Amino acid sequence: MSKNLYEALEICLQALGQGADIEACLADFPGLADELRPLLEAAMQARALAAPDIPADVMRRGRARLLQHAAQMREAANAPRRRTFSLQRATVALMLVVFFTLSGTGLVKASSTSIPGDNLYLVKRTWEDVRLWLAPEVERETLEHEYENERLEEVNELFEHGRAADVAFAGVVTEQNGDRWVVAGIPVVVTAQTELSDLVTVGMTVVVSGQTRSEGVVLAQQIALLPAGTALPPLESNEDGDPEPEKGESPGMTELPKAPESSSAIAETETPEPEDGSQPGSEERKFELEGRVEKIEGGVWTVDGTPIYFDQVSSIEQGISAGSFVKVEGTIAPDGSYHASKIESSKASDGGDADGGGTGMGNDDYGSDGSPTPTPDGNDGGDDDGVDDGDNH
Amino acid sequence: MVYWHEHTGNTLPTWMPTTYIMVLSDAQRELDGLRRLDPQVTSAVYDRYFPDVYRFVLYRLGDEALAEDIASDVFVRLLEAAQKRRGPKKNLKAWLLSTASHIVSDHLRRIYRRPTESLSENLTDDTVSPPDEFDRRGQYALTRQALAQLTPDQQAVLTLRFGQGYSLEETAVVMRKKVNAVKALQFRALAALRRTIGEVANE
Repeated sequence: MSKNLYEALEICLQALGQGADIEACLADFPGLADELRPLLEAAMQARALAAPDIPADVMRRGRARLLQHAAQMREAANAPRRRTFSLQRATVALMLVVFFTLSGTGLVKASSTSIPGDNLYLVKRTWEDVRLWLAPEVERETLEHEYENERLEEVNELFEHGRAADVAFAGVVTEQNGDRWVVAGIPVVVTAQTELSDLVTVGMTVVVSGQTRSEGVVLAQQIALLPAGTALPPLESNEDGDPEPEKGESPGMTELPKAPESSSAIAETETPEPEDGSQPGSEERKFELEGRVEKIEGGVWTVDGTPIYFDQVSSIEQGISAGSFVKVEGTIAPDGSYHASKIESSKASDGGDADGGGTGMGNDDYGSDGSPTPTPDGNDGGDDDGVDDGDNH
Repeated sequence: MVYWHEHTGNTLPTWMPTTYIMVLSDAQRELDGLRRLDPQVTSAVYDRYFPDVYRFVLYRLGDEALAEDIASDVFVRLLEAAQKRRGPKKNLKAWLLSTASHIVSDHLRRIYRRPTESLSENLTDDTVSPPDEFDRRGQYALTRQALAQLTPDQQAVLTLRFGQGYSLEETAVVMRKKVNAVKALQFRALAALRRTIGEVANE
């Protein structure tokens, strides 16, 4: 009996799925109609909950996040090779240090201005590696920033000399015009031969390997995504008031990791009220926010704890990357998410009122009172669920 | 990398349908690529399965932002599981939906432990909607609230059949059950849904 009931239910469900109505289905099973009717009504209610198709921007954001996460995992898988510090490696490194300091300081010094293609370039890179190995954890990031900048300076120097050499450097993609990209201020040409990480968009952090050309571009052989949240050193933008001397010497960029000090001086001029607010109930509201770029993850940047989507920005001013102080303008979507339409670098000290912290917000509490939205609807739902391991059968 | 069907392509049992072989090799290629964290494969797997996972979560929770986060989390777990070789063996979709289901169940358990939060409360302040829109949304809220109180298997079968529009057979594959078991399960699930909607409405 129940087997018949299950069968009859399934037949009716299929018919409903094809647009039949409940009574027409029940007419085929008059003896079971009383039992089936409430179930079919429940099925209709269950069907009414079905979601529409997935929005394209959700799809795009998710893909970007996943690919950056994969990049992060790739990096993590490689990192232990560099980071683990066996006794054997420590000994080798020490020997190198002794060798360089006692007999080869001149060599190291001479190599410091070398660029790819020079004979001494290998010495320079080896010395960098040794310094990285030996640096305590707290200083390692500073050094890595320093070396990242060094790579960019080397590329520019190669351009000046019109020399072709193999290079690799990291930075944010700030422009994409067909096969002409700009990464960390360096023009990059993407060809059919370029090994390209799927879906790289403006705002993502990548590492470019390729060859410099005399016409002042890098012909990319490979462009790979860097892990989510990779902190790259902010580059000096041309319009900056205090251009650093262009020395290849290591102290050149040591002021970079002043993040802790500057994050307390966040210039945060918010204009939460709708600006084109002729009609206050209008769906699209604007926002403006000044602060420090804390993290770049896929097409989502975190500025002062606020996630901002970069799905409407076609180009980003050169020199902006994680750690930079920026001014972002854009719109607040009906779901409460922020979408940048414009971003430019700003000076940390501009908004001198921020340190008083009158209406300023804590870095992290996005969505609470300090957030740049006029009505924080708390669309940050995902973070709280703390989902734990779903073990699968 | 050599795949299983390439090894044994000529000696396959005759009863084994070719489509099955193709599916198997596809899944293995996908898993292999995920293990290597290959961006192309990762991206392809995402494109193929993300909409299903997202819709599954959205159906159960009715919250787009949350569905986006949880669906993304499921894929991150897939990468991590593949790395540890603890991921799916062949049925990627079943693994993904099952993981999503676990996360959603955990989430719902947490929500329903907090008695102050109720879906219907969120809707009652909706003064702008016209009456029938209000009724419709109220009915959705009731159904969803009732759905969340069913057993995980009952929720899953309703979500797959009515949220995803899967056939009985597809549902059976994803739930790793026999077709007849799914028939019985969907019967009980609909009966429970009907009953719970009544209870929730009377609360």
